[in-house]
Amino acid sequence: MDDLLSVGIVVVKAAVVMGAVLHLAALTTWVERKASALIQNRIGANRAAIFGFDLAGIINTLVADPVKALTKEDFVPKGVSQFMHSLAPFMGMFPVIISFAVIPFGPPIVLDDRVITLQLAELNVGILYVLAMGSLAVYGTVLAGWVSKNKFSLMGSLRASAQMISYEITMGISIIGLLALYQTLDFASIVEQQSGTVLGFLPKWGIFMSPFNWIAFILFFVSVMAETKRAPFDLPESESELVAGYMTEYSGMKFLLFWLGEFAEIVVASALVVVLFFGGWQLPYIDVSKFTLGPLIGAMVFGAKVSAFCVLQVIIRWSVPRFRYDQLLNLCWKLMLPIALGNLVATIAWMIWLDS
Amino acid sequence: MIVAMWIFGVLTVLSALGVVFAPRPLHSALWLVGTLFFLAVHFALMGADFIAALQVVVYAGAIMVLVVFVIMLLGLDEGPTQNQSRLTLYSGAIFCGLFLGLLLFAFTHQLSFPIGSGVSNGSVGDPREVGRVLVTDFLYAFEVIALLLFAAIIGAVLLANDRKRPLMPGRGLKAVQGSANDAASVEA
Repeated sequence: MDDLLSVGIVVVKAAVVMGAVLHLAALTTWVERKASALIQNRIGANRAAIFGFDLAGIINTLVADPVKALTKEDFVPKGVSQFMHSLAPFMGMFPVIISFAVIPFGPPIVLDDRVITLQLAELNVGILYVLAMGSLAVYGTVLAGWVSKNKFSLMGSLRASAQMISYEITMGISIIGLLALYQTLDFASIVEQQSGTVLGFLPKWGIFMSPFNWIAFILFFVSVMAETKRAPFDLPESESELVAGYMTEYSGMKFLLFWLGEFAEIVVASALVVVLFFGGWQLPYIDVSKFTLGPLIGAMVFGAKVSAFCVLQVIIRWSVPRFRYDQLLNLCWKLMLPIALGNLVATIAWMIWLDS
Repeated sequence: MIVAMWIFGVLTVLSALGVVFAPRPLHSALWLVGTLFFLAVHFALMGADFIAALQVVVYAGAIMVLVVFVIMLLGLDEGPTQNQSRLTLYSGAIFCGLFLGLLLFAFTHQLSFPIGSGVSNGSVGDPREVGRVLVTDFLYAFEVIALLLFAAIIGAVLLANDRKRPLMPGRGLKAVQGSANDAASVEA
């Protein structure tokens, strides 16, 4: 009976987390349309409203997109393996969704004799797990470009994989110093360490933990944005050059899967930034876990922070023009990688100075 | 735990068979990704989370991407693989059989390997412990491996920088430029 209850709790947690990620991703599509309309004065999304209520336009977007995708013809190019063609969107989507499993989204719920952690999988190597899933996400794009038997697709997927592999390196190296400060790879412990204040007035969030962590934050944020393959890093699907890159030969629900995967990636990227640099579910100056409703408040704080970073990414996406491809790789290898290594050395030196 | 081990054991063996029997190189490579992923699950089930994560990052995430790249860019996936010569087939079967026999012998006779002496069984999944052992007990081996990888990087740069000879005759950029020049001279 007790075992059954534990299994039930895990199932409920899994349903809640996956549901939250997908809903947040879907909401981000609406934010994206609205922001594009506001920022670039695009006609359409800024008029989506029901009886004059602007916010009700959310229903238009959230219903119209899936209905359009579901009723479209699922086109598979001639001479292409149907199985591989369908496999690619799943391989792109799957790692993104499951990488949310290690992210803690609230303080643990303590009942009489049972502690329910608000985290799906308590891995002691959570960050490595997320990086591993990120490196698996390459297969979806590579496979999509390859099975389409289309030169635009292949070019797009080659660009995507070179970009993702390059930025994975800066992404990993930029947070090594931070992890040395936390002394752990476990997300739950990382968030717990971010309570309290530094210097008396700043919240003790990752970004304020050392004088160099804001550099790490910028590097990490740029890297995860590059991993999501959106403007200014949307070379793999640059419309003006490659039609739609690796998604050229995809339509209907398969295209929507790629698209939703992209938005889920935004949510995961925001969650990672929040957990590593902005205190996860911690509220500055107030210890949330002390309250009776602490887990709920913590989850809401976490959701608010993640949403804020989703919106920030959307705003950046619509205000910055696209890089040229050589600029993109130069930025990664010749600028960000040396800065990341320098930041690592500086952080370690600061730690040693602090110890002595 | 045992149930999960059996499920993923069967999946591992099935995808390993897929690597061998898949008709096309790209399918083989994807089956190999599956095999490595399921092996990582086995590590995780045994409590070695760190090794499992590294297995996915290094093998499934980096090395297999390279393999898939090579298959795609060199056009090795044009059709079904040609039949291997019988010598390759038989020697492969013999070596695999010998290795299987060795493993079975080792597992049934409870041999203890001296290799695993550095890390105690309980802490094999702890990155802190693995890191400590790497830069203390196995520092020499660690540095030698670093040197080996460094030599490989220098070798790759040297190979790619050879301006007199194209890397792959008939396929590389040089060949394309060469044929373009030829066409230009013919037109002239």
